[in-house]
Amino acid sequence: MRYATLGLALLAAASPAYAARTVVYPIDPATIEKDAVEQGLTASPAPPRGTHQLTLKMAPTVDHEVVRAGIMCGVWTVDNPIRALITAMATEHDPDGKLDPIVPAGLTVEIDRASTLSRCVSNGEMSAMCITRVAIAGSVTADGGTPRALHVEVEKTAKQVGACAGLTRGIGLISREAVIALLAEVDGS
Amino acid sequence: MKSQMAAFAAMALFAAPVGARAVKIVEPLPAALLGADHVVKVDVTVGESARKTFDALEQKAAGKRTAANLPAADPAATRPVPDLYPTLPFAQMFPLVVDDELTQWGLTSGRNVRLAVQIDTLKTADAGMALLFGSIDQLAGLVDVYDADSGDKLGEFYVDVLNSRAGLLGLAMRGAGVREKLSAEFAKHLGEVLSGRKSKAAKPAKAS
Repeated sequence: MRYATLGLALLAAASPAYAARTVVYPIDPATIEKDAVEQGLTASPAPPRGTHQLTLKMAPTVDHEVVRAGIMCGVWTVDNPIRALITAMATEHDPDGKLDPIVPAGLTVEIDRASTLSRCVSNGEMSAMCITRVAIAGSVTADGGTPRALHVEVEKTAKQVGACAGLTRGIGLISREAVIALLAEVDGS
Repeated sequence: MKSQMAAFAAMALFAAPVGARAVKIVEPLPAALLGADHVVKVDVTVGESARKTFDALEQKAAGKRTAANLPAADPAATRPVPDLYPTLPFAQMFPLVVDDELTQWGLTSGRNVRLAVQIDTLKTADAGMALLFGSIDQLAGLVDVYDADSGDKLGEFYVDVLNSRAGLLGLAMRGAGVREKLSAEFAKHLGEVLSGRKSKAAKPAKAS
């Protein structure tokens, strides 16, 4: 009976539904700090409010599936719906905390694509670490002028804590770092 | 220790299935580039996770060089013949193997590109384990493709070469020069991605 239960549990664990996961983005400072400590990462402070009114345009394909490589957690399918994170952080960054549909004298940020590669490798001590790279690309246009290309790429190594469970939190933190880098690049306009 | 074992066992449950794809595309190359590119530079770096095996193999290569009474490897010297690749440091050997392979794929003209290869996994089969349960040789890493002239990034993909070795026959077939064989197989996958073809002889894929 015990073997049957174990067999069923293993089958369930291997099923696509069980293996489907979504990246978890930390929102409040306490969670950001807790996840960062767990993953062995340093979380950057949230960017201060910007000075430019922002308009944000994003293709639906900006949300993407994480490309998984390496020996650990290979059956997991992880989605990174990063548009929600970009929208939330851009809203926080906007001077009045509102993204406007049309801004005659502000910045129009267009995000064309984003990608995440997460490769988990054994570190030789009965545990693994996950190297995650998040890239975001698009353009920013100031006051109806010529668009300037935007491209950020953030790569960090997180601890693999709690079997595969920490993976979605680690990718969430690194996605957050990529959006912070993106907003800094937007500010440079 | 017990909890570490349990955690590792749990992670193993979710380990990649055998036969996982050797190439995973992260940022596809522009269609116009496929088969019309020429790798003029390969920069290879080895991450901490692969460092232990890498250092051991570097020592082995240096030992072979000493045994053959060869002078210290000099990247600026005349291009060595393939027979001498096993005596070279990895950072010197790998680009030569890639160049040899991509020449065979006919990737010798077109847009000049630079490859930045970050190796994160390098493993050699354990003889004892191979006899009992089977073991693996593995070379895996991330490849960034850049325009060699402008520095613009053109694409990104991950290559994972995984060769299983089981029993005496498996070890015998493996032979010597594991580092060079893994590099050659890695380079073959570079040829597939950069040419957009499945084999050296295949016709170029039509751009959609």
